[in-house]
Amino acid sequence: MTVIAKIQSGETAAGTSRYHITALARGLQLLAMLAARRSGMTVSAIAAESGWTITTAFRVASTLCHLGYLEHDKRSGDYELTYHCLSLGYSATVSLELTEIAFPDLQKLHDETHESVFLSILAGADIISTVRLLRSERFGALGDRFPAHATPNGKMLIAHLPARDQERLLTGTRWMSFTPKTIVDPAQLRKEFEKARLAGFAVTDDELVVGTRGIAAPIFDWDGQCVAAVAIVCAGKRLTVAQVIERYCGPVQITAERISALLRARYPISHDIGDPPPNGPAKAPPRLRRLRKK
Amino acid sequence: MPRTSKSGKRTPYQIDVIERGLGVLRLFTPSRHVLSLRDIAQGLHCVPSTALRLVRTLCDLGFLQEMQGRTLYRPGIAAIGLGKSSIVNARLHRAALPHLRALHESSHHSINLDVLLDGSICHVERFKEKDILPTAVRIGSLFPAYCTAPGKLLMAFQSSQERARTLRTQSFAPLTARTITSRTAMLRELRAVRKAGFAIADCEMAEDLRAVSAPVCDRHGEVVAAVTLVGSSRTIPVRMLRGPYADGVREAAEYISADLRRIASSGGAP
Repeated sequence: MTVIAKIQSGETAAGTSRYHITALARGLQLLAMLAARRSGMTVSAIAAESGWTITTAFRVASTLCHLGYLEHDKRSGDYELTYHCLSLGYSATVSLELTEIAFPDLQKLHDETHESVFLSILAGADIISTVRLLRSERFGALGDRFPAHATPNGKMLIAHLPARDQERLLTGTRWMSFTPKTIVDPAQLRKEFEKARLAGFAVTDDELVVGTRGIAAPIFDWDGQCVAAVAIVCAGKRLTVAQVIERYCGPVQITAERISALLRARYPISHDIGDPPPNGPAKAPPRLRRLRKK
Repeated sequence: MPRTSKSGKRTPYQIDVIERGLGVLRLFTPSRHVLSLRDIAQGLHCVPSTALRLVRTLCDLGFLQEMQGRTLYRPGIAAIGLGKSSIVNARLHRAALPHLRALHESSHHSINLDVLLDGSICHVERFKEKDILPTAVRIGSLFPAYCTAPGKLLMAFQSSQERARTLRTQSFAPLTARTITSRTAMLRELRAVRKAGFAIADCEMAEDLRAVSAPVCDRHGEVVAAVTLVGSSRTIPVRMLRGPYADGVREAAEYISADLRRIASSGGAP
């Protein structure tokens, strides 16, 4: 621990240069270049795109080949990614759920702001928090339901519902009042949701409990659907709404965007998500149809 | 499987540092998807200062993500994007899609395309039939080889040297009453698989799953992947598995192999 601490304290915001390893960086750059396109690259294409000399490009590519992460097609001269790249972090994270994917970023937000952080999903007109990282304040138990219209994360989630679902929820729910500031009028709520959607964040001010303010930002999956919201909630009249927005809007939005990017990076991966089959529409070969019998 | 350099004459430094750097990413597993610098140094058998240099470089390029004041790390967006691209860009994947879809539509069962990675089976494509597998099985997820049909199939067609290496990585844990739990029994099973040309798993990984796999060959005739049909043991009797379903997966696998040869001889993408 002491060694690690020493190294870390010795290394201030040194930027990229001090600990940068050129050879490794080049290998990673080449992998990223190949990942960004749909086909392989020849040595001269690699050199042209990276700005390296042909010799360097060849060395980096053949090193990765030797290690099994690239394959060299002798006919076309192309270097292509192999499935071994899956063991470079992909398989370790692919089966994680939203909560697990989001947790490190939520923890970071909590550590940086020292505020209570929530990750919430919508359940009807309520929200359920799947992650709570609390300051010393109390906000019920994990899994407790809270009314969506009086919480920032709830507002954010309703704001991104498809128009018809939002309207059905707005008109079909009896919105309860908790404080004098709770918004219960559907027309006013509609305006509030619209404002949150356009701004990219939602705030509450004394709407569920007097003295409690919060701010939330949306998390989107690869499909552009809002699947969850990140919120910071501060109790005890420590901050005004303006202060909450000023201090926490950026961090909450950045956290939400990072989690969204991680979700996006995993999908879409294949055919059933919109890519047309590359060889034209598939037809079952006639002999296979006999399987249908049973 | 990536190995240590043996022809390191030309650029020993490069190979070593790239291998070590990528080795950091290989330390992450589904059960250990967040690691500390100390974990990484221990995993690589190096001092923390060396690990830190590798980690900093990986972070700079987005392959690692740091959290909590640089004591904890996880794979970054670039690493995840790389894995995804390596699946989608592969010739095998492009050649296989129409045939997997056809088999899925004609059989109404889940169809997987699997490869062997470091002793584990990795799903690189999946056509899912609803409500068969309750667990969320995603493309890219890993399974042990010894208790699955594609695992047995791909081991059967490995060279004896590679097979010995793969078998050493298997736990042979008894997951059901029918799991093959010894190396000797597995070698006998693999001989039978080679002879039959397809592999069957009859409730060996989970009580209610049956599967049959057939081999896909590349243009050199080497087995590179397995086409697998998976279903519930309630709906698939063993006789169907050995009969029409085995024929179905073998046929699809042959079509894919033929397309791989065709792509190779036409000298590029289809």
